[in-house]
Amino acid sequence: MGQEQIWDLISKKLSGEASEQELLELEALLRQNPDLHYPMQTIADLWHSPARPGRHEAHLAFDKHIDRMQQIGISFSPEPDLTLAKRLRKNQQKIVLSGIAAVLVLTGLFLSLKILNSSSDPQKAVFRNSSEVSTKNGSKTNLSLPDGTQVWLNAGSKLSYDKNYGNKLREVSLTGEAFFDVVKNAEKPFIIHTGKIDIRVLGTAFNVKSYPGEKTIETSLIRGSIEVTFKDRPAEKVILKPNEKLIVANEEISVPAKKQSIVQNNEPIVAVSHLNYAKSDNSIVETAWVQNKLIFQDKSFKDLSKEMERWYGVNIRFDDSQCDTLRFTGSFENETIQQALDALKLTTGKSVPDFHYTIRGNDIMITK
Amino acid sequence: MIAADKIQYLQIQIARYEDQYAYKELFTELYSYLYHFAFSFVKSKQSAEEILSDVFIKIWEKRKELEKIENLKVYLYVATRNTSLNYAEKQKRTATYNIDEMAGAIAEFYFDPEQLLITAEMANRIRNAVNDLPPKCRLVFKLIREDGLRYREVAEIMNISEKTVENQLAIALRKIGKAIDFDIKKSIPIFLGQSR
Repeated sequence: MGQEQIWDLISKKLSGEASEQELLELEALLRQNPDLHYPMQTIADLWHSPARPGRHEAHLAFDKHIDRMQQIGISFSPEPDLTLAKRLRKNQQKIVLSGIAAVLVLTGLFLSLKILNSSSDPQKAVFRNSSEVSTKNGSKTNLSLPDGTQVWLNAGSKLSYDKNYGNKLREVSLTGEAFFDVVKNAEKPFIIHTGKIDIRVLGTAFNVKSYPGEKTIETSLIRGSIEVTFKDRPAEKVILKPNEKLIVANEEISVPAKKQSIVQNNEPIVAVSHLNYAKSDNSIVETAWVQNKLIFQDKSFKDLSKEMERWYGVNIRFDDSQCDTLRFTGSFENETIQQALDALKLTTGKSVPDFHYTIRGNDIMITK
Repeated sequence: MIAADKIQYLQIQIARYEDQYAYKELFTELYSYLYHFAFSFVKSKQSAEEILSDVFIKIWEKRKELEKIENLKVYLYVATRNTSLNYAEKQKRTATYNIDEMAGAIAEFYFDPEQLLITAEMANRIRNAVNDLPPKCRLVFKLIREDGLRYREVAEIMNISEKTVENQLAIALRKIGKAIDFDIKKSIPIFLGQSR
């Protein structure tokens, strides 16, 4: 009797349908039936073992599907470059020039990926042995690596990998910011080289922000587990858990004229903290950009202006150093740069705004 | 395992921005699951491919109303089921078709014995236990374990009650459990003798 019920309970546990009460019942039943421990554990392992991979077939099937669609007269262009252009238009990010630049770069990537994919043909494979995708300020893109790993590349960023990608390791180099959703493959670890750190992954989703010229490199983990090592101190590593982020000081920047003891030690300044959630809709601040949102919390105008420069593809300069210490919390989604600046002006909440701005082409001057 | 939040995100992208890239993502994300599901009805590679293509053409055609669909994942399974059944009927291969007749058409239960630290013999026993399950039971097991669907979603997709889903899954796990138990009793009787 109890034996029969136990299978129902273990089914519920594995499929995530069990209530707390049922989990307790299961535990009690297992205590009474110790000989069931081994089969239970094996079933749990079986249950959680990875299902068959099918990504490659799916891509082939999609190409066929698009052919069929076009045959019956539905216009659909599967090339991601058009989609990107469209997405940018839809989001009213009116930075047409940089948008076009990104499209060109992306088209280049698409060609090189095609060549890489057909590497069974040795003649073609020699044409190109590395791929690079980059985005200008004011534009973002989304791409699939050969193994199906998804990468969202934020503005002003660059991702590159060579023809050995996927042979033994899956190695990429990143400058700037990207969100990775890595396809699980324990045999071929995914490694990101960026700035002074290397990030090693088995299969997970996380965000890396590593712009040259910024004070820190930030790694935010959404799910899974990742290991971060420091290029100058290979023996040390930090393992991140979901919902944590690792902040590493970027030394080239943080070395000031006055020498500090920490810097002399030549140690990276490292901190682990938690991810931030936006108060308005609970979205994760660190990865909101993937969904076309620029969220900022208690950010100085100076730091925010750097984000806005990349987001909108503009240059922002401060005429008055008092302005750059103003702090802001908020988010931009579909606003133009002008609407965004107006909103910031209003949030200072005074009848006389704390700053004024002038826009000349892509150059913006902030004045008192 | 299908990531529900990702499907939802793609659904919104397609509906609001006619995002072709999101459409491609949705297709490739769900393809292998829906393909095996369609295949279990029509038992033909080409037919299963065409069925999925038809289902996804409809999705693109109604992209603007896509946000009205509450659970796109379930919707796609149900659409795949209906299209498959229509297809099977048209082909008149199995005019009086039902789920109980799909023996052998469900994809092999896939796992790697080495990773699980089990013997090849036990792996065989487990595979046989799964292959010997009645088709409905096997499909329930696959949809929940591999596709990551909830009981109520499977119930809706297979047009059976949630209780039946629950029972079928328990039957599947009991059979697999017996296969493992049998093996261990045979290989290490002394250990078990002590634990009793």
